[in-house]
Amino acid sequence: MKTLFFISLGLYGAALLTQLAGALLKKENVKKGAWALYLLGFGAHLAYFVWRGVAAQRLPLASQFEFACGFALCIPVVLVLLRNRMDLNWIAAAGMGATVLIQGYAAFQRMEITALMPALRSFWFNYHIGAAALSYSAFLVAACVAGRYVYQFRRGEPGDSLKMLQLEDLSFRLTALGYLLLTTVIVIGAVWAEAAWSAYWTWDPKEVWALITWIIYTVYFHIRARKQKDGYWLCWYVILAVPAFLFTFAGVNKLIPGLHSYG
Amino acid sequence: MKKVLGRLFSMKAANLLLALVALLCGLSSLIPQGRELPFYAENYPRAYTLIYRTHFYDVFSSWYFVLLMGLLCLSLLVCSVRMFQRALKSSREDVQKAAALPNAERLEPGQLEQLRRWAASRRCREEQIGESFVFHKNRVGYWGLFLLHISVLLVVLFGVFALAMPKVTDLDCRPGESVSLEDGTEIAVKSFSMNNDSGQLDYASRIQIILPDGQRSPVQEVKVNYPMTFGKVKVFQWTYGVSPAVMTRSKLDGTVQFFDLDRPAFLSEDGLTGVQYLGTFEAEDQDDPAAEKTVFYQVRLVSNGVSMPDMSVTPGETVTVGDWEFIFQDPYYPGLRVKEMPFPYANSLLEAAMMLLLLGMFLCFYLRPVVVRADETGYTVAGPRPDKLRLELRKLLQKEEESK
Repeated sequence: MKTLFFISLGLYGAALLTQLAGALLKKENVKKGAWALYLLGFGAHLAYFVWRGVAAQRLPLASQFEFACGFALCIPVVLVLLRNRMDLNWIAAAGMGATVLIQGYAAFQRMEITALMPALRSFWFNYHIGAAALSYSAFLVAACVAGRYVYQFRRGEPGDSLKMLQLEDLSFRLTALGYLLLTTVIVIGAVWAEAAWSAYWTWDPKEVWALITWIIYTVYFHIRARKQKDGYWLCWYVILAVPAFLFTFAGVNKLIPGLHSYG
Repeated sequence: MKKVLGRLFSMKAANLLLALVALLCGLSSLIPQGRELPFYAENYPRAYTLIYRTHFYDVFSSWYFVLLMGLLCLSLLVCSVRMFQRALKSSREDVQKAAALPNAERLEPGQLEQLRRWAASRRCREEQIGESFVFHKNRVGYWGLFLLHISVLLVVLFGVFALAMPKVTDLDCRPGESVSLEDGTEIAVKSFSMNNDSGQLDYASRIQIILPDGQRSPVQEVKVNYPMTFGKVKVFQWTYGVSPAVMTRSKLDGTVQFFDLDRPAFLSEDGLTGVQYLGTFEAEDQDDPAAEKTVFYQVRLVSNGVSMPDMSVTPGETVTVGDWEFIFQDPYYPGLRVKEMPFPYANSLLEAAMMLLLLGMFLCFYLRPVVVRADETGYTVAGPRPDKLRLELRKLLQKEEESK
């Protein structure tokens, strides 16, 4: 079934290339084809995820590979919702790039299915890890939207036009969703840590970096609330915050050993 | 003074404090935290003096980190008071204030009805004040920021309380025995088991807690993720140890005795007949090398001074020599962590504050107040961040006008 994973990665990659070709050639039909390829990739990805869950008899989000796979799966979910509800065709290109990036990262991780270690066999497992995957994907898509804002702004679109205000607002709303989910991750993690490790907070590197990410986005909401910075500035902030949660997701596990180093 | 205090507790200052906390957290990742000092002297010999002097080996208990957190709490407190006043004022006066606002956009004849339809589709309430109509919804959202700030403050305060106040003790106790805490609470370990599930060991103890007043808990299993709470005591399955032991039983009168086998010994009544304990060893399952290793007792039986060949005995096995039975005990025992909380349900306060935090966030992000004032000639958008809604309404009304 690994083939299904690589098929989905291939389809995502093909969708991205087709989308870029469509943008260069300015052919709407080519872009539609790209979206169809992307949806096919999503279908294969979803099928692989479901199969893995059935095979492992749990939510397949335990290892770095599984988490990256789940994180990448959440991106098309958010994209499909946005594209269909808000008619945002342009979001496909950035979203496809993000999906290929995360799915590509997953491809380099160890893929075997392992039994869940006793410390992870908890009621909180699904909610804690699931919320983290959704949170990161919301932050990533928010950054894609912010990227679009920056691109449009540089092309001369005035920042106070309705289109730009909507873009900035969408970036904000996605960031808010990611922030709410990240807070949920931290809260659930704390309650779980108390049951497993006897303390709500242990200053474990993963906890510390989740807190850093949380603070970075808290500062964003503060700055936005003060209304002293324009949309262009705020969108750059959302883009520049991406490395923070990506480091929390992958960097901490790879570079800093701690209680969350599960593989 | 007021100006200085205003700046000290401004949002800008709060951002600076948050940035400093994040910076210190990031720097703390550079070296492992909370180890013994010799670890740093050995691994970071060049930077050791700096690490020691700046308390960099445990940033989170350093004076500067505690000071930063203290300032952040003060800032949160001041901010919460301000947010409370603002929320109270807004929720009481926003409709009245909106009604008094001048028109920012013009309405053509008949467009007020379109606006009304839009408001109805968004489930806005309508109030008439004088000649003005005020459409509003989500006014509970004004309380979001207050709830958010006060709950963060409570989470920090209760969190410090939850980390610092409980008395934490690590105890070892053999199955069948019990240990007493300082206050007289007794923890009895009924049994201990190690389950090997696909190469992952899972330790579980069945325990009973007896409070100083004699109240007994039911016997319950504790294992990772499933601690046991009774009264102010919470017991966690923490670790395990290996301690060989043997129980001897006389065949003549049934006398039972326990011996800890911490070193080789000759277990005999008369010095001629008995069991020579040589040691323990671990052996792995030949069929499943990943499986947990089993402990064996290495013994030599001696009868009337004559030694027999060495033999291996598994825990639980009984060896009979002369008038005595030697029952070799399961050498594993649990290590329990006992957390004595200052009062029952102390953790619930923190958990309630965390729920409040999520509620505050939900109110902030998903129940943003909408207040639109209109009359026959024009309308204006009040409430927080009105720009986008103003433009959306303008576009909607233009679109409907064009479709006519």
